[in-house]
Amino acid sequence: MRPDTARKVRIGVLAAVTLLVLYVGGRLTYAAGGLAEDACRNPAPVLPGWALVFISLAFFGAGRLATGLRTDNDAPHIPPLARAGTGGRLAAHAALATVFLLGVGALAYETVGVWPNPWKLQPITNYVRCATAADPLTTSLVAAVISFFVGHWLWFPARRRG
Amino acid sequence: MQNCPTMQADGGVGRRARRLDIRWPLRGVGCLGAILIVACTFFYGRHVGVTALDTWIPAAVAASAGWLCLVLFALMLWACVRISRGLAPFDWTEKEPARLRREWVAPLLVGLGVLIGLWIFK
Repeated sequence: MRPDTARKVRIGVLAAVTLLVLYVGGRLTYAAGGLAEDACRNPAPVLPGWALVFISLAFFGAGRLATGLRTDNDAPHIPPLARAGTGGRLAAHAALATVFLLGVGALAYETVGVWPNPWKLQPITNYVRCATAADPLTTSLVAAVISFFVGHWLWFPARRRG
Repeated sequence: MQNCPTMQADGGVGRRARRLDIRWPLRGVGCLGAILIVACTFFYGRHVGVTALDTWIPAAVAASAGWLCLVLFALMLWACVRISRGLAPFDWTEKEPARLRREWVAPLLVGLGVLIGLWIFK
């Protein structure tokens, strides 16, 4: 593929993913606002249990395939962070710190949620089950987008030799 | 200059700053903390009389993962401070991810995560 065509494809894919994430965020907010108070008491399953797992795995693989569109694939023998300037490395480490901080919060919540607790917090899995029953389309979309990014960022292509 | 390996590894910082190799301390802190959390969760679970599979094992898994996230969060904050002062980042940030970048690591972790999720958090 010619460099200018490849660049246009990359920009198109990035723009499409950005629009998809914005749409999913808006749809999620709208769906959450429409939930009734008793929506999570006895959620009736709409999707079979394996469907969400299958969707997530499929988009995890799609995210891996999309790594071929990244510019850092042109020089995979140099780690991306090593090629960035001070500002880029600082931004990357700050973003990673934020992700880990969010992870700490979610896992602390999950730890309390699985014990009998005075605040009646529920495990995160309960909310996922409730969301799947209340709005299977939005839940599938969110699972697909998250799985795509995980596959894209964390499933690294094999390095070329030589 | 561009062919100089030190310059490339430093990301063009332009200095031969001393790198900190904190891989083994990091592994030690992560593993010891996780072992301590699992032991505490086990004994606390026995003390309050909760069931193993429904309560203390999921709590131990979530708390251990949270501890590892906390350790990595602290590491990234420290890395931010070092980078902002113009110092070289840790060796961990260059060498350890290179091992994790092997192509089979991510699908293996996802497969294990699905199995653990189906077993514990179903």
